[in-house]
Amino acid sequence: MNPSSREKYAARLTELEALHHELSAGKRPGDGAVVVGLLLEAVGDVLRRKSALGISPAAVIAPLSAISEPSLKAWADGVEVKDLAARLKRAASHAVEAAIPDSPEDGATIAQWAVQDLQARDRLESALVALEAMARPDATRLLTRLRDAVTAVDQSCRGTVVSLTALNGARRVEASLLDGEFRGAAWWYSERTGIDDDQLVQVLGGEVKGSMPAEFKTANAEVTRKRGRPVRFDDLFRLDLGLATAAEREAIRLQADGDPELKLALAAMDAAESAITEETKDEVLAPATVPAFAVERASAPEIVEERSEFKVLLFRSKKNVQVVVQPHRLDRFAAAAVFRSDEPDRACPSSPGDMGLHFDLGAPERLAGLVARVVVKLTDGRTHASEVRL
Amino acid sequence: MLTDDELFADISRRKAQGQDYKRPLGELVFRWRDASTTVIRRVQGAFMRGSPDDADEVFQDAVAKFMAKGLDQFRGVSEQVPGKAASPKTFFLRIVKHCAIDRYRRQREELDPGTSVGEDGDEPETSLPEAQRSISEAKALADQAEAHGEYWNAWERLKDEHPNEAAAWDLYHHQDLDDHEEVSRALGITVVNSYKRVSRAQAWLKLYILEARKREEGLPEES
Repeated sequence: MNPSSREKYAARLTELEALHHELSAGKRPGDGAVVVGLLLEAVGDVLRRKSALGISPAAVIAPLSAISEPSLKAWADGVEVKDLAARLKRAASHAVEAAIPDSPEDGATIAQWAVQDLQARDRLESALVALEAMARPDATRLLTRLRDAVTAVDQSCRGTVVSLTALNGARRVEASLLDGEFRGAAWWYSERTGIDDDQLVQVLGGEVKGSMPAEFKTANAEVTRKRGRPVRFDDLFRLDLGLATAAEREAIRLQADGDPELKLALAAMDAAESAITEETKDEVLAPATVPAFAVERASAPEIVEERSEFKVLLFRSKKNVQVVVQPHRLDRFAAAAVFRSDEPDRACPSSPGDMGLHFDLGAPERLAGLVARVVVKLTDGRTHASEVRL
Repeated sequence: MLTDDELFADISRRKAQGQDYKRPLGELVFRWRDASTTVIRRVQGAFMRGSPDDADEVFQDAVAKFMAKGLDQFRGVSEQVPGKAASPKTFFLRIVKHCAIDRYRRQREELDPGTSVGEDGDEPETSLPEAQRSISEAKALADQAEAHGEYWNAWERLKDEHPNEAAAWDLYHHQDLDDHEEVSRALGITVVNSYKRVSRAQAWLKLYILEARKREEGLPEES
């Protein structure tokens, strides 16, 4: 058993007393929902680990009687169960990144984020256990409602547990502290925590060689089987609109090299584009777009990265090279910085522009062989980094 | 009479407010009908196939696509020339162009002798063991098609949730580049990054397939 984890939960007893005092004194303005939530979580945390902490339930549940019915309802109404599903899915996604990180430092940080999301699920479980311990009609009604919602979340997220095996070290410690009666229900900590599963994500990613359980073998064969992805309507349309990323353009180029049918389609695109130019030549607003990658404009931006929250574009001109970070959702975008590989500790100068946040990287002749690292921070604390060769 | 841009703005407003916009949309695309026919003919010329009847069908197909996706996709900004505006007519004509290209590409694929059933369409005489073998083969093909579907569903999810990893996987695996040096060059990333992105893509694809299977079974993962 990890002593620091045990101490963390032992400290909940002290917190519990403080919260009880605060609730009884009624000093906080408002409906008391925040203190009620914290108190429920603290009580549940201890109740679910009473053997490891060596305490009796009676001593822990006494402060719950200080919770009023309106405060309890206010807390329950504020529980965002949907957010919990998003956090569990994010934990699974981060767990894979932690198992196969770009660098060991990234791995440790991302693993920590993933564990924090699992802790959020666990805290709600503790609150529900405390709610049950209250044994009051109003608490029972709220428990039934919340339990139904949480069960639905668990059902939709439990399939991601294989990804969580990448966090097995931390998960085993947490699972070992839980009382036997609660361990099984806490699947986010206890399921697939065998040593054999520790490297499962790396094995699935082909990072390390290892044995794979039978149920994974068909999925493994399905993914590793050689197959092509023919270029279709959406790919060509995106190319035509200038929305295709560098990778998508490269995929089309590679395929066209060996596929006369695709070459024919690209020739048809050119032919039809001439017709469109003729048909729209009198329009004031008509843009002069050229579909074929072979005659790509020097000023056309390169899409470095595109996510739901933002897009990173690279503009090259004879005078200078610019990175533009374009937020799609201002409420999610916190900050951005760009670093050149020759000056990794100095952020490139930036200024707000028509298209987003502009970063001036300098004249192209000075940038040959360099790499720019673009770091975008979101309001939820997540950071996305991408690299672009200059 | 409203200009194209004014009419398009009216359609966009009606759509945003949940009002009926089909009549003004019909009026707008009718204005572009002749231009659409010119574009379709140019595609027909490149593929050396097609008929006037095809032009009607392609036009209808383009209108349906414009309604389904195009109205939201159109941003009025030229992606290739930042700062310049694009017209809705140009955007619609590009949809027409790609509908026509898609149609004739598919027609050529269907006529490809490698995928045709048989020249005369007659069923050959079949003995019992041959019939049984055919059933087994058909079942194997059906299984393969199902697996094929689950793979592409996982791929769509990967593109949506992890576009960087999907891009690396697409080049490395689907486009048969099979070389991290080349993938890294194409994506402007380091070789190590290419290797890591491909590994993560592979892991996610397998995990998504497993998740989808569990969902279909309606069973939670066993401990």
